[in-house]
Amino acid sequence: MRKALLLLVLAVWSGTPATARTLDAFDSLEGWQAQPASGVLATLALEKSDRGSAVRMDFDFQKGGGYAVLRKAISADVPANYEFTFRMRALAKPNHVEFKVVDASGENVWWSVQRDHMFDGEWETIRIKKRHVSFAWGPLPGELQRFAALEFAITAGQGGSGSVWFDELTLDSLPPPPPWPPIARVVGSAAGGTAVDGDAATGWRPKGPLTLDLGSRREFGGLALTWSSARAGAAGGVPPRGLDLSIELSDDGRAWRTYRATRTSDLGLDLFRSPETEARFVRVSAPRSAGNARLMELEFRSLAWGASPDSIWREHGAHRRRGELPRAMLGERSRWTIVGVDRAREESLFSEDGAFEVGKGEWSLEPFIVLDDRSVVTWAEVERDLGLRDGDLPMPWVRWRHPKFELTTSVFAEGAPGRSSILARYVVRNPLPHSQRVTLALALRPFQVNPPAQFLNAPGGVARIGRLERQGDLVLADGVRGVIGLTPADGFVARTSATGDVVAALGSRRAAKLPDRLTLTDADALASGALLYELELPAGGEREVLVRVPLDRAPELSDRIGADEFAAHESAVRALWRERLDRLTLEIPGDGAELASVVRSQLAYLLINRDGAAIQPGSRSYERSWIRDGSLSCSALLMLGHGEDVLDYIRWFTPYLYADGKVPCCVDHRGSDPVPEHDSNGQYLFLLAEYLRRTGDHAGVEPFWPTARGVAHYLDSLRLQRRTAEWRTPERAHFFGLLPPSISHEGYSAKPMHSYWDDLFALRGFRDVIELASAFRDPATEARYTAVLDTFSRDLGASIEAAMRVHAIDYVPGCADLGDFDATSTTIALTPAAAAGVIRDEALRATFERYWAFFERRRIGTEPWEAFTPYEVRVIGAMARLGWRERALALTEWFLARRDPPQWNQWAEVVHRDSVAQRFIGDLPHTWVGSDFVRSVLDLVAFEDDATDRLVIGAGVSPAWFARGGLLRLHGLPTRWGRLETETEATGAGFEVRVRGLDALPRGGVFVCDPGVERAREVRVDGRVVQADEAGRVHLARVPATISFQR
Amino acid sequence: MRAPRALLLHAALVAGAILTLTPLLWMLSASFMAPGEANQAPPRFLPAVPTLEHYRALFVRLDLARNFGNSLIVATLGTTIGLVLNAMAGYAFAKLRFPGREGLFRALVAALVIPAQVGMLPLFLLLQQMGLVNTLWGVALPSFASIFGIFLVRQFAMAIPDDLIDAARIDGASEGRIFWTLVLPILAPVLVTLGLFTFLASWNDFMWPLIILSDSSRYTLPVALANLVGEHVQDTELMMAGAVLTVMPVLVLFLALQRFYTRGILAGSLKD
Repeated sequence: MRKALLLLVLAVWSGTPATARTLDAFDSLEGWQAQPASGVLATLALEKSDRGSAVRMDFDFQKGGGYAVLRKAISADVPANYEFTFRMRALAKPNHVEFKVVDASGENVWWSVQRDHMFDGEWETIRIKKRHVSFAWGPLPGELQRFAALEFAITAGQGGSGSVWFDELTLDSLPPPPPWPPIARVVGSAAGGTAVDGDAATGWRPKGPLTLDLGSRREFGGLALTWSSARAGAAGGVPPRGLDLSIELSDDGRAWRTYRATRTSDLGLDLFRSPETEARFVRVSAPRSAGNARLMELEFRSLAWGASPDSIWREHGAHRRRGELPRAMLGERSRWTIVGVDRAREESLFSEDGAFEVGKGEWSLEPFIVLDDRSVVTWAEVERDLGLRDGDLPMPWVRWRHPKFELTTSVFAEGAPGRSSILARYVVRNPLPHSQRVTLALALRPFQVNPPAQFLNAPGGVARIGRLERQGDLVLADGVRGVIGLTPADGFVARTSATGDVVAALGSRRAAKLPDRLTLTDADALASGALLYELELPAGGEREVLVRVPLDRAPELSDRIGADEFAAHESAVRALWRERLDRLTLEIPGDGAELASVVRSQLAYLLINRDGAAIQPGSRSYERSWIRDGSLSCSALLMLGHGEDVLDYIRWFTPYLYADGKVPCCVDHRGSDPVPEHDSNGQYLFLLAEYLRRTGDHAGVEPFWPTARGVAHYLDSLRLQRRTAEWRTPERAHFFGLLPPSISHEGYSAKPMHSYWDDLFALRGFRDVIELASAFRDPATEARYTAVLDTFSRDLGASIEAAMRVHAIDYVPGCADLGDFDATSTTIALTPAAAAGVIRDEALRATFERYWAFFERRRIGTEPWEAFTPYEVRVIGAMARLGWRERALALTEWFLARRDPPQWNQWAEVVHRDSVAQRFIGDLPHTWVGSDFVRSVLDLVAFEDDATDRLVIGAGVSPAWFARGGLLRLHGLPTRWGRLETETEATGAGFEVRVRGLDALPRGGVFVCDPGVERAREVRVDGRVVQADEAGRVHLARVPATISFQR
Repeated sequence: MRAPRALLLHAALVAGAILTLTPLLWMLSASFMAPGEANQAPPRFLPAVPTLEHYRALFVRLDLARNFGNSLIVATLGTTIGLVLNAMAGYAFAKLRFPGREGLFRALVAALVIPAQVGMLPLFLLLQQMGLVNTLWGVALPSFASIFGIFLVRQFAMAIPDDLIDAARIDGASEGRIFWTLVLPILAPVLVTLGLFTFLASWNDFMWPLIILSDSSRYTLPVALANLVGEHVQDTELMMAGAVLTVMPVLVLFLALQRFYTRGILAGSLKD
């Protein structure tokens, strides 16, 4: 109380606006609550501080990830413009600090996040202005007007344990923000006025300092200085390359601080980024004469401009020749694929223009060709072909086609995880009938291949090169990464950001080839350099250049290998991938061959995306392991013969489970993520059972059986939360017996929902724990969960029926709360949940009829669409399982056409219709999507129907695949009844299907579908005439069998 | 020399008794503690200010009285019907002659070695077909006849002299009358013992009610209490109050019938 009074007196005395309000002085613990996540400990204590008392929160991220929240119910109205301030100190590793404001509903949250906050143990005052506070989640996004609770959260960055103290939380009312941009007045001489008059045609010749007054302290994000000829139509001399320049700031016009001491570049436009800068006065001075050069305009850049490190380049791009900057930096859509070795943590991205990153968030190596006439050819002036080695291996190539040359860039990764390298081959071919000399420039540029729109987890855009060091053919960037030319280079050029960009210098006669040994530093970490290869090309001849880039470390001279060794590595890598991708034989004739090729490429990408045993859907934005993606990806891996990789994943993931049986939704380098997403437990159980079903490796799963029991118990406890009397009322009956709401589905992140996705996985989980209990001879658990499954199945079925009534719909909704249509999620009702007996068949069919109608409208263009997530490929399998072959094939064709790019056999997580504008696309390739495609393609050829205990062969086989003959061959598909071998080929009068393998017959039988368009006139099994059922399927009494469909 | 040895023995027994009783007594004590008191360090043995708040919470807020009633119904039903059926079967195996009697009995005794858990799944599926899932009848039904019960009664009934039964027959008593008026009173000690066993087993049974019941309103006390553990894992005092409620009735019953129980157990092992 005393401290609050003191604060009030101080506020009045210091002239703080009278509306400043102390929200909490932290004089007592009253009302404050510690709310740690699962796997996190948090306790509170009141302690003396340098200004009285403070609240201390001790936290311990025991499972690595999670959060510790300090919360108090405090209500207040929020002024139109405001600032929260509080004092904080901490003894902890760098972690994220979140300040959250919650409204009276408790559902709408606004926040300000400081990522990886460095704590030095000293008190610091944190100021959170209105512009720092953004809407975090909740059903009612909007402006913050009144709040009912405040939270401080420490969220795991590096995790660990520690203590954080909070003190003196206030909310101040601020005057409205002044208009943008600030109006600058020249102090003293009026000569400089032409530099701030908004007229690019008039300028100021630097003679003595130019001092500008903004009238009051103003916030800005950077400065732009336009010199004489940077803009079209600008008159008066050439850009002042290399002019020493000093820019200073002051709040009072007396005490000055340096903003930049630099040199002007040769670009004519100097941009300086400075996030969160505040000053009233700006002074620009050039100590020596600038000759004819004039400063045409000095402009202030906004805070938003300053917030993004890519702003400078985007603005430069507008002034430079297209192609001098990567298309990603121009705000254009770019495509890339992944290159790396199986299990490695580090992967490279290889762009459609032939550039590749040297690691996550790192700079890239980009090719350019300098022709004899010194003209520089970039990606913007060439036609382009793309491809993969053998059509399916993760060894991509890009070919530039230009009237005067062809450049083929092909890359692959070799080595062991932690010691891998990118090996790149550049082949320049001369198509002309005469010899010519061209220069291949391999530029190290401070840009990622990952574009700026990729903001999540690993922001793309600009990279850092603070120091370039050349030692002959070895070029090091910041001493930690680099490139080694395996072909001796003929020269090297380099630039710092103060002197421009190396590409602008490539064609210049002034571009001096620098000495063999050189070190160049750049304070803004935007240096660039290029290895130059002068190539004499005979008519029709070609030359190749080889380089090597280690992905996990700096290159060494010992990394140098000869061309023969390079070729040997290439062969070995090819053979390695062939072995991994060809374990399941899937050969499809005709147009179907592409499907098999995509399946193999996706398998390769899946293996590359994983870090060690941790299966991850992407290499950048989604470099985390979700059990959701992991379990379904593992199902695909098992089908493709990678059982040992799945067991490794189980072994890796299981220690991250919580002691109470809760399965974390996600695990990353910080540990378990405690966010409740209730599909996780079912998915973990599915993972174990699926492994057992498809490998029969009893001993491999047995160590996890006690854990599985705990997981099932936790899942059961979730289910029981909605089985109490309060959920039996008519208004709530459609929630009865379901799992509690969760945000496992992205669409429900604003507000958790009773998502049927969670329940369907729970259904699968309960089924699988019964199967596991039976396998591990635990009759009590088997009986227990048989009963649970019985009840849960009834509850789930009743809930879906009730939800359909409540929302007056005829399809299975995505969640009980909204009655929303989400057929992509509902696919899991068919597989893996096998809920056919739980959900009415009519409801399931109506769901996919509705999807088909939507798909058709979209396909023919009557349904407007901007983007889709290709998880929709799951519907291909669903259609095959429903017996709708033509629909399944139509979907397959449509999605195949939207691979991005098609030649690289991949999809991003989000596919935008607009192929020009740059937007966030998740990850590329996204291998959860890929694994869904794998499972769907295999469903077309053969699937297990768990609901009826049947094996169905050929439900999605297209007769068109056999138009030019050929053999469809699926050999070695692991099923619960043993490995399946099946072949289909067109015969003169119809089709012949051969079924072999299998150690046992499914209880529900083996069914073979007729691949023909029309119903077969006669069907024979091993020569005996049999009757097909009404769907044209033949029931096999035994295997092996040969079925002929005659027309 | 004998006194110190006896002293040592008694000391050891007392120590053993204390070790055995301490958790029970602490459970009782903690159930009267204020919230959070049981988790204090160092631990407290007695409540600072005894409170009945947790018992009130169990009965008023958490409606445990209903679960208590369910347990009582199931245990009483199972015990009553079980006693009648086991007594009849045990007597029949001991004293009535019918074809296959010895073989059938040997088969039953052999089935004793099969763990109860193995039978749970078929039993559940059977009751599912009978429409008894999620009913108190379904919970009680498996305790209506137990092999152990039949075995116990049979062994006791073997000691009833055949002459006594034959004399009743000569006097014109029907088989039913002989059983109800002559045999049952003789079987009383063993029936008390069996009744106690059956009641205890039924009252304490967790797994079977957990399997067969799906509505919380039909849960028996152990299942309801296990559910509370999930929701109120931090409320140690509340949990202890629940545990007291579960243990006390059977403890009282056991102590009250201890005399009969001991006699019944011993009677089965003697021959006249």
